Amino acid sequence: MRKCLTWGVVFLSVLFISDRLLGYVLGEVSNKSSFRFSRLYGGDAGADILILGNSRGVNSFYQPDLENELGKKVFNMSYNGLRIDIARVLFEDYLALNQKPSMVVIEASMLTRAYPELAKELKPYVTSGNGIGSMLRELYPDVYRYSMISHVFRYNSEIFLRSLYYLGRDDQEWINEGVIDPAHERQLDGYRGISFEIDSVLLEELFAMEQRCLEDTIELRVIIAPYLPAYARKIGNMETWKEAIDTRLRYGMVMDCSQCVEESENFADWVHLNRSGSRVLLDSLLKANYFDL
Amino acid sequence: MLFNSQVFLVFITLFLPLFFLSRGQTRLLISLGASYVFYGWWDWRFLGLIWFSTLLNFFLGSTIFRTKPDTRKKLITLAVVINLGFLGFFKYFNFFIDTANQLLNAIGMGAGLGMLEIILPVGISFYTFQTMSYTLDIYRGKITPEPSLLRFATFVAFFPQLVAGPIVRAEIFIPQLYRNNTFQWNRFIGGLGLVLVGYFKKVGVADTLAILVDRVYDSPGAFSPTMVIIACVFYSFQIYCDFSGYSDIAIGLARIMGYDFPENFRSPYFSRNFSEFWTRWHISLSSWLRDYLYIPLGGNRRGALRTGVNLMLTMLLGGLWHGANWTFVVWGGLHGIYLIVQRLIQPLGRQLPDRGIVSSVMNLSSIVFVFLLTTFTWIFFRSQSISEAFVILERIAMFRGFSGSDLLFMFPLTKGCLLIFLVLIIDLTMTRVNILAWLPLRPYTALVLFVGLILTMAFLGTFDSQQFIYFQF
Repeated sequence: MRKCLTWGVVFLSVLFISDRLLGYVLGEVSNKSSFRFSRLYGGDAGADILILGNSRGVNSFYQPDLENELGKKVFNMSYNGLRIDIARVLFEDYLALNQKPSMVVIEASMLTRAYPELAKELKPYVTSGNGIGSMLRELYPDVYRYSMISHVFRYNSEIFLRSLYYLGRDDQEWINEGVIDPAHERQLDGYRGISFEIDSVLLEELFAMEQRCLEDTIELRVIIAPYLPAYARKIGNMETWKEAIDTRLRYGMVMDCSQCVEESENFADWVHLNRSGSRVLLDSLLKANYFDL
Repeated sequence: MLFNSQVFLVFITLFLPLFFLSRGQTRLLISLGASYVFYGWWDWRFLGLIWFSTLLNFFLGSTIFRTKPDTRKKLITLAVVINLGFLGFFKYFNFFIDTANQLLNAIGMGAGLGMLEIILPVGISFYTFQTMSYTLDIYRGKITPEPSLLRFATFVAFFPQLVAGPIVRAEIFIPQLYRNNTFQWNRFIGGLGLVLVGYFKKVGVADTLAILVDRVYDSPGAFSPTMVIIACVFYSFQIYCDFSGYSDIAIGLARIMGYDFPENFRSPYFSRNFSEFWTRWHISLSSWLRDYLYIPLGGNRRGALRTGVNLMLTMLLGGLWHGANWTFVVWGGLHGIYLIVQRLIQPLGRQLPDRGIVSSVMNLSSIVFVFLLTTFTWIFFRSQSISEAFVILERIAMFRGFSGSDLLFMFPLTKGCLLIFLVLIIDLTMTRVNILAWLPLRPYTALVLFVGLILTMAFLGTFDSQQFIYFQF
């Protein structure tokens, strides 16, 4: 029995120490990454213009082009499946840890139901920012608890693998170079179309963000980025949806660019622009002086 | 109760000290009570079925042993009919009614026979086969009846293997229940190693692979054919890790308690032919089917044609054992065809050299070939219907590279490939090393390996307490 107890104590000690050591190493790796959230929580993401969105935000705004044209520092914090409620928490942490931006651009499709479980994937930063820690504790108490018990578990996340990928390379330089497959485009013919859900909870999140921006004198702009025109025509309630957002915003207005880009070769698929598409969008925004304060 | 739930951790932490502190009847009582709690956690109402099965086979077993041969035959027939009747009612009633309705509709006699809302009791196929083998073995004179109802009930309901096997025969397990095992360090280390390997396979591998597999099978049209093929390969490993993971945990727990259960999987995806596959996959079921179905049907003793028929019947029924769906029958049928074809072409293989580079290449190609054909059968096994399986097959037939939407799944894909690689290494190691004997000799090497396994699970595992696939069978 003594042998067993000794082994048990050594086992638990080695397990604990290994977990903390490995957790520390993985944390250091994550901190050194140029991935957007690592930069956010490392306090290295300060910019004049901050862009928030889901994958449509990632594909619509190409940071190097924006910086070249505007001569300002731009940080695109959009991420696949990012929803406004999670974005608001990230924004709070951004303000706490980075230089305050003068303008925030929000891509409006973040207000549709997307991938709420993304919050779990952000656990590598559970202790790096107050917002993310509180959100995890509230939404996923088990995940939060496990993250506190095992530091290695925090890095069991897609976000961490992406931060590994962006060690030594800038994620702001990624842009979709693909062009929509004509066969995929033709599939739209048989597509019945969609209707955007008007979600009052998510609209409240947008309102809260607007309030936060007002407090810090940050200009908030909301934009509906382009859809493939054939797809845009299938959206049954675009006007109603846009109106719901406009109504909820106290000062801001939604800029509808859903049909600003017409040619199919500017799209990677039905809902995402590619590199040339993002350029076309940027040109039309510059023409409209969209980024002027 | 699931092995991969927090409540099980509490359960086993309370149970093991009580188990080792008790002796004799008290220990049996504790084991039985714990087993009923374990099962009743899911739905206590179905404990009645286990009690019925226990009492039926206990009393019929001893009666068969005591009566004359002509009465014996009637009693064993009665035992088989009642056992299979219960299994048939709970598992297949609606399936047969639905099939009858379809047939009647096809010939224009739409009768619309009513279906019943029947809940499938977890593990019914496993404990029915286990208790049936007890009664059949008494009838065959292989074993004598167990005089203690308490011991017999523990044999039937023993929680590590109650709901998803392995199906442990009475001749193996009941004699072990007479022993008053004390806590043994060697058994603890070996058993713990197996339990951790089981958890790694389930939590680390199977549940992680399930993320991609479930998405692809839910909407195959949204993924490229390449991704659909990858999902099919992933499913082969998902079901293997899910089921063999459960078996490893069950065998490991029993080992800690001092009981030896036979292995249920022996690296099946390294099989070079289908006969070998069936001696490595779900061994407790395949040997059950061999001993109680294939051999009584005549086995391979009555000529080539009859052997083929026997093989096909065994595999079709083996398929149906898994569930009330034609997809399982097709799965079994395909394996039946593979076994028959193999018997036909096997003589050709004997002319090939059994050493050197040619032999190695042949062996490797055979392993890959058997794996791919097995993966093909899993498409039917995983699909909800035959038509769904054909949707998957049609998608695969459109063979093309990756598409844009696949990009969103690159993370589970990368993680899945890494995990499959790890599981293959574990499998290869376990074919060469008996870890139950090896680990206790090197407790501190074992310690390092265990820590490594736990941290790998923490880093790569999926912790959503997903149910084991074989619970539904």
